[in-house]
Amino acid sequence: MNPGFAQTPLEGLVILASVSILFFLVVLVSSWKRVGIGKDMTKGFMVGGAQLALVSIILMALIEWEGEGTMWLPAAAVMITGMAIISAARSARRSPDMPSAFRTTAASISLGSVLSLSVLLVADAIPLRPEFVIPLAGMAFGNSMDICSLTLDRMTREFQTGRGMIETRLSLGATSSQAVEEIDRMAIRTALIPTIDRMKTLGIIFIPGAMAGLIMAGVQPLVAAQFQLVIFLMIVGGGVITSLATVTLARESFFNEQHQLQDWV
Amino acid sequence: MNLYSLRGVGKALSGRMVLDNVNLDIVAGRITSLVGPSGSGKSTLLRLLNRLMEPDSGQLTYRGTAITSKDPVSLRKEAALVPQDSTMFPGSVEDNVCYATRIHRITDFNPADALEAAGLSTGYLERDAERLSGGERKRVALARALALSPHALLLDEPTSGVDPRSSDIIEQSVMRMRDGGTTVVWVTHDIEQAKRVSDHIVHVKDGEAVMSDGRDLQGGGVY
Repeated sequence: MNPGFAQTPLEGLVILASVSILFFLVVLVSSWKRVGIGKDMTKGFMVGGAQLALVSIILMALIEWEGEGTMWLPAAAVMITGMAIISAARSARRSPDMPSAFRTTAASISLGSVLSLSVLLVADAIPLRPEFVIPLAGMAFGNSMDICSLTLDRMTREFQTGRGMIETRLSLGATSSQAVEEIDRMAIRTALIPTIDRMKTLGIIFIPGAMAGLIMAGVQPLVAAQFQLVIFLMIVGGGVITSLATVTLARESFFNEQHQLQDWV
Repeated sequence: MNLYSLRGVGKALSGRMVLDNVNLDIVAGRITSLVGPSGSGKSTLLRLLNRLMEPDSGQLTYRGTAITSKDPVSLRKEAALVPQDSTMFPGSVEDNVCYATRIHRITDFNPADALEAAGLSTGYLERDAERLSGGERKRVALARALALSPHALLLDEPTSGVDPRSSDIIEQSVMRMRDGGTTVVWVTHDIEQAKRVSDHIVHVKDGEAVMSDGRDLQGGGVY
């Protein structure tokens, strides 16, 4: 089914170019008003556009390979590994002083994303096809990255401001996990609030991307809504797993085996 | 009998030698005061005894065996530390006093007993801990440690910033603990207080610790 946007990539490019006029007008106005975001917006548009183009080309190749059996699977695995590495590196920047931050973020994000994606595949909610697996993996990794970053950010701040309270608990014989159980809970809650809020306002304030895309592609709105809910369950499930894994693994970097705070905290 | 023995203990923090070649015995069932100026290493010494940190050099023994062979969580149950800042946990005074007993699943405990031992009436149990005055916080922090019925109490300036009456109540409470067999290590910069409450005084200065009979300290002064 054609979404009615363009018949060929070339046609799409022409449409995109004409709509870009709006974007460049906004950039001009922001430069005129000295808002100071024109450069960043242009860079973001260029980089984002290039990345989307690259992904589309890879997806087109994978969809081509799909007809030749499972040949697309190794390529998809490489792509998903790339998503895992990039999202983990980005998230690890939230706690630059933390030793082995990348190991923590990579393990947490991968665990949450892969597990939630696997549930969708095992439950037959999505077919094992590149046009489903790759975009959904992107959503899962992107969301898990955000949640991991928020969890780590909150934890690091709480450790820095609440060092006295943590050590008081330790000095009374609390284990490291007992000493920070409130911080863990707070970090998980804070990280999940945006996702939960988005779920609560689904369909009222906004129609999410996947559902909107499906409707525009001609899918029945009810079926599109069901699919959107499946995606949200994946996002929430993966997010909770990621956040739990982050607090558990990060704790090992904040404390040593003797339940003492590490020097870097 | 010595509860703790330190031989040639050294500790550096942020590249600075805070404790250097400390030799010291903490006698069981007695109050040992550590007196000295700010930054002399008194609090660091206390943290070594509670295993919130480890020495970089020397030997530190607890009940005759290397302190590192003792599980830190059980050690901290036996030798409870009351930090100087008396941070209150969110919740009521009762939540604070019962914190250690809750995590260690101690059931035969009455929070009112610990509170009274620290010189506060049972009427405080329901109060919001974070709204207490400095002196009240110090006493709740003491009660929180007493809830563990520890063998040793490690007190970091338990009366600093406290009014004279509260200070006197805390001194009396700690001396009662000592009479009941508890070993106390009391960090203070108040020399007169050290002379008043202690069985042994240790002068900590420039990272070194020297046993003192109090006469070598500036008479009745405060560091």
